[in-house]
Amino acid sequence: MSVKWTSRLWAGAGTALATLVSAVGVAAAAGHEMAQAHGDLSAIHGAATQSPDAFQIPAMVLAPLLIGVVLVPALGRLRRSLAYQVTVVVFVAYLAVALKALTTVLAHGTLHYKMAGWMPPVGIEWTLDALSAFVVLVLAVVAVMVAIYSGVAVRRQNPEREVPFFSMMVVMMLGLTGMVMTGDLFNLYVFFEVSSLSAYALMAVGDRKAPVSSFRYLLQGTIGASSYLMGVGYLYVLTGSLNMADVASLLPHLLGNPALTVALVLMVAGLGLKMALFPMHLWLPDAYTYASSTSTAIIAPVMTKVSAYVLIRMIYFVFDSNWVLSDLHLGFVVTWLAMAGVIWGSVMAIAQRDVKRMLAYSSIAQVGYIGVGIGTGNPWALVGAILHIMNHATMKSSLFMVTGIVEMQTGTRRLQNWNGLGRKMPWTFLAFTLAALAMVGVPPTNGFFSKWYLALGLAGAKQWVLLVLLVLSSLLTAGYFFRLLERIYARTGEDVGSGSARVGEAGDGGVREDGGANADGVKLAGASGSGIAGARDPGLALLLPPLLLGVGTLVLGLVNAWFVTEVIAKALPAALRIPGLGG
Amino acid sequence: MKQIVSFLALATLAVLLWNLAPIAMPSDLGPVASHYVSHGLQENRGSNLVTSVVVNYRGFDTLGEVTVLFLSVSGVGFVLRRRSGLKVHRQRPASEIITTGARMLFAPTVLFGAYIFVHGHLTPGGGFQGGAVVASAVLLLILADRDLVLPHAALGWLESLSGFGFVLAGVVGLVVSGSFLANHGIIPLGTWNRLLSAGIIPVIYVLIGLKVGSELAALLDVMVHAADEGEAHS
Repeated sequence: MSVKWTSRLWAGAGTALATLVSAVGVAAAAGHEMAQAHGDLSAIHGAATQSPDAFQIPAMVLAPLLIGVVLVPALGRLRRSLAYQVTVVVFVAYLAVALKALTTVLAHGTLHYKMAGWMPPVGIEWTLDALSAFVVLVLAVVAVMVAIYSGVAVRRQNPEREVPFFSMMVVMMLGLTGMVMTGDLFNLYVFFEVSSLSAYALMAVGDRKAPVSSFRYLLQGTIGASSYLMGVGYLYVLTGSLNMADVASLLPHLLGNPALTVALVLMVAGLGLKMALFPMHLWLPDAYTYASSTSTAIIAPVMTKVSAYVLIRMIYFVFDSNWVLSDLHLGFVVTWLAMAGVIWGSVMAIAQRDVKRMLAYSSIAQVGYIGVGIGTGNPWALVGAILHIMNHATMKSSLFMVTGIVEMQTGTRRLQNWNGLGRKMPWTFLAFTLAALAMVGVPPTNGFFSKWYLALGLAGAKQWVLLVLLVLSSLLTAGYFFRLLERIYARTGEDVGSGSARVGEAGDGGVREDGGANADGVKLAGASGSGIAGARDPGLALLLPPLLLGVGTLVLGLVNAWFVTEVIAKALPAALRIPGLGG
Repeated sequence: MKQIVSFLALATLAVLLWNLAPIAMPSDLGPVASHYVSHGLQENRGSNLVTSVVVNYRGFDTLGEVTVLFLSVSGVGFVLRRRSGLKVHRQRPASEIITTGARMLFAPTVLFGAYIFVHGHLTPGGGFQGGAVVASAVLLLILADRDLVLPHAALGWLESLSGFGFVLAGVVGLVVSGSFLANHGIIPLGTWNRLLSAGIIPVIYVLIGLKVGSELAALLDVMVHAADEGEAHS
């Protein structure tokens, strides 16, 4: 008894101290920032070369997450439900700073932050430009939405793991943010590991098969990370520097060196694996299917996207994109592999009977679109790829969250059990329908516009075969989503008999879900027990996040022109700037 | 099929590396490395330059690596606590020699580990190495007595408070000199080669030593108990 009491006292003292210090730290950072801003205001008309380094914004983006990493497990030890509340607060603060970061970057240009005060390349530099600020904002929006959703979802599916779950979630966002904002090749690897390890742990929570599929993901992901690290090693031997901008300025003298080619190939292969580029996607379907629906909802929209972002950084900002894509023919390889992934993912998605697995395969296809945009090397295609990072994150997290809701309310995620659910759960499936339409690329939704810019880019690069395949892949996507929508709205549950009576015959193929409600009548973890007949919309905490993101696909589609001209046009590498667009 | 794919992958790697054979490691230091060598001592006053690089110049990487270690340890705890897969046959109670030896060696080993991380800025080694040595002292105790129960709560708090201390040191740098993890204007840098020198570097390395030591000790405990549970089930 006394042990528990003292540990509580410790916890209380520690967290009080932590809160105090972090509050002081943030206030000080803000103070610094404001002082600098004032200083700049007086100098801004005098010299164009005002030093934006002084801005503390990059450190402030990091601050809520670092505080969260300490606070979530500490307060969670006091009271379990605090872990969820603190996580939501942390992510909302993160979103607020991310918004501020984007507006600051758009107004002042790129911000550089020198860790420990050393000038790069001696020290580590963090760079916040339009591209990284944009991706950080996407991460923050997804984090807030999924965090709100996970409160109820985790309590229902994994009550005993609430505290480690939310801690891992915050650490993963910290790692991803680090990957996006760092301007240092090795620092990127460190955050690569932070985000990957927490993702493996999150993926291990779920069905009975989750630990095994997560372990396979761990093995393959480690190969990818090691491959990237070897590439960084070669680059360091060649240039003696790890700072991205510094390396980029040294590379033109080394273009004929075979070690440079090897370094590039190793890095692209490693990142391709983490991004699930076509022949290296094998870890993805199992990992996404067996993980709990909250794990998938937070990992699927951001993990592969951030790897794609790093690939853009490497090819277009560190290396010379012309040399990479044309002289080495890597553009050809990446584009065609990515397109193969689009087709393969879509075809496999059609063959699935488990909705979650279907969405996992469609993730491979959607990441393929981003890969096509990266490999083509045309500015419009790259615009499409960057836009699709945001668009796919919004749609996919909404879709996975809805799948989780259905799983919780009815205990099944088998395709034919979804008959008629649209009428029983109208709001849930409004979100699903909007996101699904965006996946297909129906005009006013955001999915249409990323494909549109991609198509423009492919036409500009005269890649007619790829253009035809792009259109074809949209038809395939329409195939599996409209089939699902037809079940959801047009059929009734009685068409196939009473749900569970028919599932026995569905147990064929490799799609049998583990521990499912199906063959043996055991409910999926966290199922409320009401079954398919009594399915209804969940409470607001579960419903609102996917619904907001679903409506978001529509809104982002309508305002996509703003993003393209004001943000993405400024995020393009100097060599690919589109005349007349942005800055 | 699997063999073919692995063969192809290995063959590709071999071709890549074959291409690299003619390239030699440069014999002279790169620009960044030569900066550390020529200015490192003056800028941080730590006689162990490696420590200056690890804790200060690239201290942010180290913060990340500490997080990675924390993640792997809690990941192992996460997995092993639920499923007891390891099966180890319980040995007879440890012999007199082992228990006596462990008892005699425990204190010197902890002291040696502490020496390594306290002197991290002066001599080879540092927080990670010292922490590992401390944890190996705990391993000695566990070998001598398998029923030993470690103070989990204390270890947990030691681990999280030292991690918090690292972040705190970074924030202090931010407040005092304007950038996260900075080493100027917090603690006087002092004279090189003294125990109290190199500013905040030894403070951070001691915190890392405590964190690594308590983390690895807790990890050993989790693994031993998982093995015992596996035995109990079988």
